[in-house]
Amino acid sequence: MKNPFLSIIKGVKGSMRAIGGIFRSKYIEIILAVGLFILLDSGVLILNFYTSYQIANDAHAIQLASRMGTLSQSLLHELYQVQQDANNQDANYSESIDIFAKSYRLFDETLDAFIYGGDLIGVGQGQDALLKDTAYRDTSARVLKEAEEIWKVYRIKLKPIVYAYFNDPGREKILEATTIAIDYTRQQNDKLLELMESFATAVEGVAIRKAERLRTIQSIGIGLAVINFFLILFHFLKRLSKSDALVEKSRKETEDILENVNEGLFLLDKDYIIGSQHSKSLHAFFKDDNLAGQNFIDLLRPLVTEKTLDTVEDYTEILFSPRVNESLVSNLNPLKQVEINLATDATGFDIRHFSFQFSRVYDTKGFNNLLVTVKDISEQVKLSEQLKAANEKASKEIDMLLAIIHVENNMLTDFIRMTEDGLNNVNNILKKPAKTTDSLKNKLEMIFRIAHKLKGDSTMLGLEFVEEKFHSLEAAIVVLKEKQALTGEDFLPLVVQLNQLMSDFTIIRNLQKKMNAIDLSNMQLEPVLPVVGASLDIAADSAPETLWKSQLNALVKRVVTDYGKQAVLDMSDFDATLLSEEQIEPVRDIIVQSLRNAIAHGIETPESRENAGKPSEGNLKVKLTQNGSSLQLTIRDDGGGIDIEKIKSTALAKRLATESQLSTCQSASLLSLIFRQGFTTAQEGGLHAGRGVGMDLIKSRLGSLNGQFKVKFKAGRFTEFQFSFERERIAVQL
Amino acid sequence: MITEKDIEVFIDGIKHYFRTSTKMDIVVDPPYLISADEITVNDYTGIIGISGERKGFVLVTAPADMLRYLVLSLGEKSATPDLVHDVVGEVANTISGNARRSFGAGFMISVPLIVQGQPSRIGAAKDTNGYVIPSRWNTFSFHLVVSLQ
Amino acid sequence: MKMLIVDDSLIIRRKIEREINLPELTEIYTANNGQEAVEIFTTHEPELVTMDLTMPKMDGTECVKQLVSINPNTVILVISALADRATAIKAVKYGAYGFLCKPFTECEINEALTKCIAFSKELRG
Repeated sequence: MKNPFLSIIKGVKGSMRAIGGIFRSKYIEIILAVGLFILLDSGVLILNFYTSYQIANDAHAIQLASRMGTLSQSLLHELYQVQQDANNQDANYSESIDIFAKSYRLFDETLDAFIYGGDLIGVGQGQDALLKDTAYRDTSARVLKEAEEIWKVYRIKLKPIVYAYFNDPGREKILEATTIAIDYTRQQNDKLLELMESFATAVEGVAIRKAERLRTIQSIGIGLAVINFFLILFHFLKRLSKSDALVEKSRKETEDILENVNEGLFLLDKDYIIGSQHSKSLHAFFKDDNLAGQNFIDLLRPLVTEKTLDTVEDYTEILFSPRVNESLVSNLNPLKQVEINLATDATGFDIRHFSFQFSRVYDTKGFNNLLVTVKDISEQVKLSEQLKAANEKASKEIDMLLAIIHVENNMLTDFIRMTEDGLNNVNNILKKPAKTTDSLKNKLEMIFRIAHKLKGDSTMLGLEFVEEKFHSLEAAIVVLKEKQALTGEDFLPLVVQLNQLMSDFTIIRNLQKKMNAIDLSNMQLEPVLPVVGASLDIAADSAPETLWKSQLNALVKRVVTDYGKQAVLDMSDFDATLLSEEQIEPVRDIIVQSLRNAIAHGIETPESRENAGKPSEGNLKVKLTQNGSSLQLTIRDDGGGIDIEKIKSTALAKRLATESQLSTCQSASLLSLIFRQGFTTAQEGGLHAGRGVGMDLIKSRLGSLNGQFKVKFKAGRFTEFQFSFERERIAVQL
Repeated sequence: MITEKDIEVFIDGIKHYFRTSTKMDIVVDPPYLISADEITVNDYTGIIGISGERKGFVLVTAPADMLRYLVLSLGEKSATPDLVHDVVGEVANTISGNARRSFGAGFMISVPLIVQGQPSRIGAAKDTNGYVIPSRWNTFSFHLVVSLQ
Repeated sequence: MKMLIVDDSLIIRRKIEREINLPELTEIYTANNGQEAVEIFTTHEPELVTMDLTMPKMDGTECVKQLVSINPNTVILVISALADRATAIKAVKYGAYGFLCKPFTECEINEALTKCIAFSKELRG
């Protein structure tokens, strides 16, 4: 418990300190100056009182002096009255004696008072001092002396009459004394009057001189006070203007800082209001010139996401809480790096990245404001984003590069071109107006064929990641194909995948361009598909059949692995040089699709082959031979042949034919079913077969070659497809 | 990468607008892709800027004839240019509002900008394909273009 | 001074226990979810609490709320990954004293706890 007494002492000490503080402070001068001013002023005031008192006194003295002149005349006059009353037996003289005695006494006392400073009848007590004032005696000493001499005789001559007032001596005696007195008075009367008048004038003179002196002193006092006043005024005006200049200077400095600092600086109060003093750059940050007094949250609302805004509100709230450690929550600042979306007229948004920093502004009473610093870090963010994107792109590109680096360059070129053409075709197919479900279905079919073909190509080149993408595109199309009614919107997933593929191929094309820029022939790479030929540029033309073989071998290897089967490819009777340039692509497509079908549907699993007494490894034969003016392409597998019953049941299930139709038709027309769109006997669509598009693609490719085909098979033994088409021209042989 | 769902939000927005305000559904034709420099617009275009987790824009562009018809079918006596301009804004606003609701907190959807004729600049990223969603309303055809990174 | 470590990860609890070297902290308790934290808090009345945010049974934010309602003078340090920024801010709003970002160094945890201890002393006069 605190001692209350101690606290009182503390309080007193405090207030004393406070007072001491005032005296030590810059106010000491003004306090002293004002004190002096008051002192001078009160001095003048006191002098004023004294002067007016003196003047009143002097006026009284003048009045008394003049009265003595009058009294000297009255005395003679009253003596006559006494004589007259004494002569008249009937008259009572005591009254006139009384009047005379009064005047006598008055004159006597007044004169006495003027000369010696005595009491005065009928005058206030305080007046003594005045009459004791030697000034009158000094100046009029001769006059007063003369008057006293005359009055002394007066006294002797007049006394008997005055005594008669107290002790009546009888009419006769009075008459006698009066006659003597009148005689003398008549002689001296004029003289006395003259003396008294000159005395009055002298007194007046003294009073005037005194008044003048006092006025001079007063003027000097007032003058000093005025001078003091002006000194104060001048001094403090100077001081004021000096401190004003300092204030102005610091204001200017603050303003200069706020005008020129690149960062946005402002104070934020508890109600999120932006302070009036903020840096000019803040206007540019927010594209707003009237930020003072605005609500910070409202200002941010259209610029950031709702999520961010909520967090900002919470964050500023905790910063204002005295129960929270500022440094321990600085990590949580949600605006450390924030995307700001400033609306512009042309593009809708101008995206900037700002960094806001909040710090508490402490004063003696704690903190009521946050100092907010805003920096535009768009450039840094852009750089780091670019770096990140570049890294991502690079790692994606490395994956792709690792995949495509094994593909022979010319083939890759062809592949990229064909795929990009194919993807553009898909887009063009989408673009063509189609309003009916049928036309939409037709679109799907066309797109599916392209996708399937491109998938085959990528399989052939061993580009599995591309193959998978086309496979999922196919899957998406299959979903749509099964829908009863199609709308344009249903195509959306395809378009999204198409977009992805397009952008992948842009990357692949750019990668290839970069690869071409460096001489790969010097690199110690071992391609999966051996590159034959002196240089990459002429590889495809120099030994086409070798290339065909290696690519197709790779395809077969991959497909058999996927199906868990075993097979070898025999291309000993394949003469690629027989094909014209235009024929290469369709022929390759036909071979690829046929081989995939052969492995998927023809070649049996190693176990069932062994059970059937066949070697576990299947045999695939691809022949290209000339027969007169036409070429014959044969693809034969030693698998299980074609299962007619399976075709029948599939045809029934897919409602491609009725049971009665099937029972009457020939095997040949049954076989034609396998070339129908969507026909497949595979249970589920795998990567290589089962979408029912392979045969359809073969048919359309054969169409472009103007060719025909035959199918031969023997159940449990083999299947052979024979395609024949015209030979166009002989490919250049090297 | 843009997802189907993102695009569907915009399609739903525009469908919703026509269904509720004209009682006539729009027909959406198969979408296709378009590169940034291929984007062409019709007489009137409403553009909405998008930023935040995804960046890009959405625009709806329609012929003046359709918009005039739309204005009249909304109950106006005559289709003044002002009203035509306004109605594009309203369509765009609806899409924008729908997007704001669906995309939630991580997206910024701008106030639509209405342009008559060719806009001075469309802020499409060079290597980003736009999705064109051709649509028809009452025999008129118009386009929704979505371009998001 | 007593401290309670609330975290559902044993590794983190052990890491905190191992790394703190502050003589003021004389007793350390641990809890692996919010409910347990409230129980231990009520029995042992620790002055300091470190709080994870994502936990089973009762999450950190709710736990902060409850602990503060039991004893408003408790000093709570939220320890979580920056990905939960919004949640962490909420937790601080409900009465935590500060936040430490996971992963943290030995120096960081000691510095943060020193500040917490100072504040706790200030609160208790």
